[in-house]
Amino acid sequence: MIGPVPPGIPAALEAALPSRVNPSHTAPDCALTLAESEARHRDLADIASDWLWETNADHRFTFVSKRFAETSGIPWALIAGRGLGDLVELGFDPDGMQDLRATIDGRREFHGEVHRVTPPGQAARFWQLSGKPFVDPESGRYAGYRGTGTDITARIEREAAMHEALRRAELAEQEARLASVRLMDAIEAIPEGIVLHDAEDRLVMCNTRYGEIFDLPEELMRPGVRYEDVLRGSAKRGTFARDEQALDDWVAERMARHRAAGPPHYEQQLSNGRWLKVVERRTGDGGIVGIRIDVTAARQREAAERERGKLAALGHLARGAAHEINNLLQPALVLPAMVRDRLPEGDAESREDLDFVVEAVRKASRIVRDIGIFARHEEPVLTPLDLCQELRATLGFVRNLMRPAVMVREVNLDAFAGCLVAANKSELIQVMTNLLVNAAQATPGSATATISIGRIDPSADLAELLSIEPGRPYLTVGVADAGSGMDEATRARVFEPFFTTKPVGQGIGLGLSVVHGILRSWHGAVTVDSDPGVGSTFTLYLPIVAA
Amino acid sequence: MTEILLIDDMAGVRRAVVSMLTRAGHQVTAAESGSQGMDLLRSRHFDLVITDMLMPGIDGADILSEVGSLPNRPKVIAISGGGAGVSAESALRLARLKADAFLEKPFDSEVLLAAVDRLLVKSP
Repeated sequence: MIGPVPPGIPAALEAALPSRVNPSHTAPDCALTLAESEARHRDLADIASDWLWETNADHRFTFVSKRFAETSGIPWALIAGRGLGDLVELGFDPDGMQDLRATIDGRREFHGEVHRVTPPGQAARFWQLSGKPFVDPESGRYAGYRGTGTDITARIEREAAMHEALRRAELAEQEARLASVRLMDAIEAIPEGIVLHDAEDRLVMCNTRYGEIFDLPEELMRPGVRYEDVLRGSAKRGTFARDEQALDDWVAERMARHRAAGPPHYEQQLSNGRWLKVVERRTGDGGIVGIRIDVTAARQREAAERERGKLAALGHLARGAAHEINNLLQPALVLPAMVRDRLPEGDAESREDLDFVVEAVRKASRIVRDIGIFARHEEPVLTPLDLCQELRATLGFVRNLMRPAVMVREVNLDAFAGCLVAANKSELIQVMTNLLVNAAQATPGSATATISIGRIDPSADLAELLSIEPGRPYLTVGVADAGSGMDEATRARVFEPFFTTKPVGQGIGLGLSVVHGILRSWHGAVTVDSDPGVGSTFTLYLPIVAA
Repeated sequence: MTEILLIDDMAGVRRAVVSMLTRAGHQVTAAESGSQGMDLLRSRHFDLVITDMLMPGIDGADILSEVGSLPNRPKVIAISGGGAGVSAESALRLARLKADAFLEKPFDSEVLLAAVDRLLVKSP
């Protein structure tokens, strides 16, 4: 360290630098000759990246450094002695000039003000100007302004480009966010369950419907949850209808199917009875997108279709058989009577035997006739009937045929009085007889059958399921008993001809199939609801022709 | 004396119907096929024709249309045990439409005789 640290210089900084060569140059009172000073300032003015300028008290240019001409292309000769305001003619923004003049008139300093300059026939440039007023050293009067200027067009353009890039990036991000929201909305709106797993079988996303189908708790719908855990958790909660297979085996099998990501796609039954079609596909990044489609209605339709096909074939067979049997029964019915008349007076035993034969033939004939009604080949004669009135009359008649211990209770039978349905009187008697006999037989001892009337506008699904016309009102007749009820297997076959749960000799299982056949020929339907031990309710659907 | 023609391809039915009618005092000629019945119809007059509807070859529909073309149209009772298929359905519809009476097999003696009496009384 040589000499004392000059004032105003932090000691640490002074210490960090090598020792001075000529410390006298730092002295504030360092004297320079005028010529030296002038040369120095000229060199500095010429070499500076900013240009230097000076105006006099009249705002006329008295000096600009060479850098101005180099940068702006405006030679000194052009503006020498001209006013500041003349720059407007050279493209200086008039509003900017007005501001600048206001500052100068107020004798204020200004720093880094940016002005737009559009020289004739050229693109806009940006000048950054600074200036301060100065006074004549002798008179002390205001003498003009001195300042610097620089062309910052390149910087402005860079900044503008960067700003634009930022704006675009923000816009793109906004659009991406919006697209994502739209996609999620769309996926949410899909009536099927949608689920996306990554390549490690972890949940990426799923829609609400997916959760609803499997009744998933929230923790199994969170991103990152392993598919295997969802399967295992749901299986443990009894969501799936699966046989006795061990849980691990079942999960392994399901995972294998999942990873194979079909086709073939498969269907799966839930314990609530619904059927799902599972469609899975690999995505480009190795994940798997899955769709769960509820195909219960389609399966029911197919089953109903198969059932109808089976019944149609059976009906054809039955009619063919009935034709043969009826022809065979004709002599069996008639000839015994002839023989009977030829018997000697005293032979009562043979007469009784023949009567027995004839009675058997009559019974056989009735059975064949019932088969014929079930397997009807022609349209019955339908007439508009006031269902309430007809039902009352029918019940009055049928009551006489029932065991005394069987009570028939009527509920709201007059609720739809005057409402006409297309039906056939004698067949209505047969339908009600068969249903009430069935109800009585389901209830040993004293029994009560409850008859009620309702009205329904079947949904498209129900209409399709029952093979009735959608968009058309139906009256319903409910026949309920509190008897032994039926299990699922019995319920499924209850309308099949010759299906019976009764002991041998109590019926051959045609009653309900005849009801089914008659309702079908009326363009109606019959359904059954039943629970073992609780009872059964048969519901008839009859198309309304006039209210 | 009224003349009745019975046409049915089933021997048991022929035997039963002939027994019922002769016991009631009617004169019956039985044909065991549609074609035999057709020949008889064309050879002489009958007051009443009882015909089965479903028979192989010439069937009840043919008999009905032949009867319709005869100058002194006999009465017709169509009988049937029912049957399966489109031809059976149309035959039965035709029987209900064109015959004077229609009986479903098996029918009782009383039912047949009542129909016969009704139709023969009305005939000129």
